Amino acid sequence: MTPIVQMKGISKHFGGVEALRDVDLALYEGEVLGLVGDNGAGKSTLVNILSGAILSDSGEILFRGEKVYIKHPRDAKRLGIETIYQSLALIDNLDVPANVFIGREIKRGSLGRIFRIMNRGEMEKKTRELLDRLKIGIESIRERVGNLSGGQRQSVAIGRAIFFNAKVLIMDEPTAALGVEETEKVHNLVRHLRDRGLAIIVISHNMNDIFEISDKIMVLKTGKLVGVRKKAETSMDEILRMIIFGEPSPEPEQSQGSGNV
Amino acid sequence: MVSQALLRKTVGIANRYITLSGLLALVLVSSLLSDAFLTLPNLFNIIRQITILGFMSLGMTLVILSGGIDLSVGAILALSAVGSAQLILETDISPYMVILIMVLAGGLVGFCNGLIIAKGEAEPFLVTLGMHIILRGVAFIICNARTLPLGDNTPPMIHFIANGFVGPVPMPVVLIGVFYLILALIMYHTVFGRYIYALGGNAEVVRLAGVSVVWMKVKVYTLSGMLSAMAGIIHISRINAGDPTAGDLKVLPVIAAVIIGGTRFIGGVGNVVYTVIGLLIVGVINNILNLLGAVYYIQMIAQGITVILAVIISTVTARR
Repeated sequence: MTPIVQMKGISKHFGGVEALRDVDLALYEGEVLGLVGDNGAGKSTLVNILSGAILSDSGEILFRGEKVYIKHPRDAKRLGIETIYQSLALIDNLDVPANVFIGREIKRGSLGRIFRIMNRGEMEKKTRELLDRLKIGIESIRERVGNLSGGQRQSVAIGRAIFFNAKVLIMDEPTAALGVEETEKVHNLVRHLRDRGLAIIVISHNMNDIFEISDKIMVLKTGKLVGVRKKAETSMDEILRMIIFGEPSPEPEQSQGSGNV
Repeated sequence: MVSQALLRKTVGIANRYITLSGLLALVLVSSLLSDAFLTLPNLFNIIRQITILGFMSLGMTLVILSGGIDLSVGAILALSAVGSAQLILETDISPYMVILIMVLAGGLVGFCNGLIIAKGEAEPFLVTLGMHIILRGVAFIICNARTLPLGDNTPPMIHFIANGFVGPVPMPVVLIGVFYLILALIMYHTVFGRYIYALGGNAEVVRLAGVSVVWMKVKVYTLSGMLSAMAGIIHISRINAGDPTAGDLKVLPVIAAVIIGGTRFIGGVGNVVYTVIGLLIVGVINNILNLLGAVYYIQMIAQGITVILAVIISTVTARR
């Protein structure tokens, strides 16, 4: 099976700082990839390159096996790659439908399309349907999102990301600001989306989070790939060792390869 | 959480009504102070007096909502005033062409403002201040540093703009009404309007959503330039001359009307309809001081105090 997204040999400098060096990533449909590493490991830089927020210095990205150029967030969205930033990237002074549809407003027919007149009623209806489907409770969707709770804001961000048939979902610290109950809701939402065939990348500092929802775990340290492990074949101890020391402990297939040296 | 949201909503509504009740209180006090105040001719007069400010404030509202500021509006007015006076005096082109040319010229200035601000990621305050000084110089060159009296050369159509009537309603009142209505509809119903609010809320998110922030800003400043040029046309229609110093002291009252109306200075929250209320407050204060025979300098002091009060009220209500 071809991965839906493959990143090969990605490198990135910020001035004199090497943020990423020759990093590879493979992500399959219906899979949650946990991306972990210490601060400055390059996790955010890597996903920002995939989402088009920044450009890599070198390396290539394949989408369903074909080489693609993601130079702008637009390019990523066109492929179905959606990102939920840690800041949630909500516009606090606008209401829920305005945030869900930002950049993709539904317009009225014929003349309305020329003058770009919005169909506000349709957008509100679609937003309500979306929130119902995801079982997200928000009393008034006309409320400015700046006035909503942390969990509600996270839900609006997720709702917006998946509304337009996302294939790949990138989540940066999705539960960092949430309480226990709201975290559990977000976990359920992630599993639900994975079961629908989405490919999901989750960045988190929280090991419980990562082990709760990931299928595969990828570890970065100071801009370099340490290794990738299937959740079923690793332990929290091993992942922590990889994060801290940057050394993969010997694995069956790897020890075979290095055994010949 | 629910009650907090409710509280904020209540404060929001109260904030809106503070402005409106401020206006009503002003009207009440004014009508007690002067018998001439609450008459239809005087009320029309107030609106006629705020027409020029009104056009500039309309553009300024959009600019401020988008998170920017345009200090060049007064100089664009002057450019448009002396430019159109010169065209009327020196050429035979039709008044419609004169208006079209000046509005396009104002639009071009705004386009440059927007392009420099957006492309160069430059501070709007300083860019438009620089533009203001450039245009003042240009206006003085166009008219050779003297006022250009139009005398009997004013085309009837230009004269009509500030002095005509549509039925019983003065033309400036019609103009202000039509333009504010159109812009209010645009702001509420179109994608363009929504992006202006979004820009004032979080420009980075707008960029990430795939919207061209540069193009949006260029459009907003272009519109502001065009509306200020319109103000210049109304100006020559009113005083029957092109004056290079016109609009010199207009920037603060324009910003004042927007802020008094309740539009947030950092952008994202507000409304062109609020600006009408702000304009009326500015207009009524000037009018009643006129009726009471106060000198112009007193009006300046009153205006300054009103702006400071408005800023205090909006800060306090936003914090609550």
